[in-house]
Amino acid sequence: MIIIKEFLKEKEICMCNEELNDVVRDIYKAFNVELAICEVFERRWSYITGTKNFISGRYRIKINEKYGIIVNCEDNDVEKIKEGIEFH
Amino acid sequence: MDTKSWIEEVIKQDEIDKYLINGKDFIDEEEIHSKLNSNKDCSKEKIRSIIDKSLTITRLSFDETATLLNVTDEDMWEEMYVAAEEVKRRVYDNRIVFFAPLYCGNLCVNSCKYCGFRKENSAEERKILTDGEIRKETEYILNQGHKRVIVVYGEHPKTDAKYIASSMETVYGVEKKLKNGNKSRIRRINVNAAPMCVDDLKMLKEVGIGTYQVFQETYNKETYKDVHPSGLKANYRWRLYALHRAMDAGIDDVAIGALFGLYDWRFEVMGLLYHTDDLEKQFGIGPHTISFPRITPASGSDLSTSSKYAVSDSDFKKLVTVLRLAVPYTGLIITARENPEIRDEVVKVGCTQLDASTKIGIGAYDKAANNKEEDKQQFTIGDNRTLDEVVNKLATMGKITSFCTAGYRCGRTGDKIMKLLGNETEGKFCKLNAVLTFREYLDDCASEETKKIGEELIRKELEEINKMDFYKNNKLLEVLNDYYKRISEGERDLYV
Repeated sequence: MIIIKEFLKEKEICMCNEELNDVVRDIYKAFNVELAICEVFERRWSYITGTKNFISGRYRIKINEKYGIIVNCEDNDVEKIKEGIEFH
Repeated sequence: MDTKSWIEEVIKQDEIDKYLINGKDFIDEEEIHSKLNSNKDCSKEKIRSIIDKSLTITRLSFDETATLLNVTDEDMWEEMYVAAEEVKRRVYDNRIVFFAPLYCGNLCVNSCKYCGFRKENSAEERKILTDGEIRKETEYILNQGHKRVIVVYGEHPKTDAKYIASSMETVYGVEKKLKNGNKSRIRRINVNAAPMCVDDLKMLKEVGIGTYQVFQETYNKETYKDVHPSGLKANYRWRLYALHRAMDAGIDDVAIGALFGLYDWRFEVMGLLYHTDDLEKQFGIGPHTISFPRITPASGSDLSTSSKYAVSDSDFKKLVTVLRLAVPYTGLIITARENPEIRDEVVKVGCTQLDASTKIGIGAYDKAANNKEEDKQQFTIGDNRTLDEVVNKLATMGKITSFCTAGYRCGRTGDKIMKLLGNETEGKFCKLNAVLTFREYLDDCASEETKKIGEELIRKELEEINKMDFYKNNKLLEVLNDYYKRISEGERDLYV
């Protein structure tokens, strides 16, 4: 399932908040999970935007070099989400 | 580039001017003095209403803070001390976070009258740590049980942003095998350094900085000019807007502080509040922490031993109390400058972070490891207790030690963490991560005596956690139990 747009594969692409909000909405709709998108700098995952009720999440998934999502989901949903945001 | 040319390029006037409002900076001294002089209605009813506001985890106004600073009734101060501790408990729960300072360089182009690093101080042996030396220092720190470090530098071209970023990568890269075979690494690096331009600050962000910390030292402009007669630090506004530039560079965890003893302590508390207010106004994010070092004897500095604004122990406890009540969400750091008795006393009025096993000489940890004599330092240390001794003492006070670094690795940064602190949610995570990191400490580094008292403390915390609806409702009990078991079995660095 393709969720994230093609250009996210680019290493240094910067996205505006509207585009990132789209990503949050797409993932939320597809998997019904609370999540946040962060800008990643080594260990620092700086919050940018997320679902309304997001507090924190157990799993961190890198989307590309620049962005990652922190997601609150069941253990067996993690791989589904990872596969869902990969690009074919 | 020679030092003179480097100095000429550091300050960017447009990166000061963009933050001024109507050409003015946010420290209106006349207004501050006026508020301190006029807010003298310190009736019990008034003070209690201000305390009640603080207990809702709402920042106090300038007038409310000035009112608290003018309280003379010692019974009311006792109520304020109790309230300060309660505010801290609501926001950060029962935990105290620990860190170690790591001084990497004492070359400096400035002439601060209170500091041993000032360039005129020929008694100071000047040094910048190499990568190998930084690794040795880090290994010593890790061996004590620390997971968080603040790296400190003088202001000099040889310790510019590139050096700072590189030294941070070196620290992050160190892995130390502890005596029980478990491996340890530094998980968060905060930086105390000179003010920088936005481009330089972006370099620190790229390598994963925790908090960027710049102390104004004093908000009083006349005093500032007097104690900073030359060098880059003589520019008041370049320093004043250092954290604003950090925000613009994308570093959303910033820290402020003042050196108490340079000017009137009540004025400085107001200065810190005005600073907080302007960060919130311009970025929606206040300081992650506030520090309040008191001036202590420093090599080659007469001012450090003879200031007319020296702060007494009782006033020190009061100023920390007011800061706690005025900015309920911020972390408060009390360092080993202070002696053990005052630290143990003041930690009770809302401090959230301490350092221990502290050495502040350049390369001093390695010297300690090899039983060598320490060089002169930036200032004198009051509390030479080891980490284990302080952890033990806090445990006897019922406070759990934490080495948590979860927030900035879980997207709880900037305005996100500010909201979570304000609605008393972040403290719920503080509680869990304190248990997890304290478990690591007890298993890896604690003395037998500390283990004994620590086990009882963990047992109490787990008992509390299991009764709290928040953890049940957010499915965090399963996560905690899973992580706690795995840590007990030797896995490391699991956080919520």
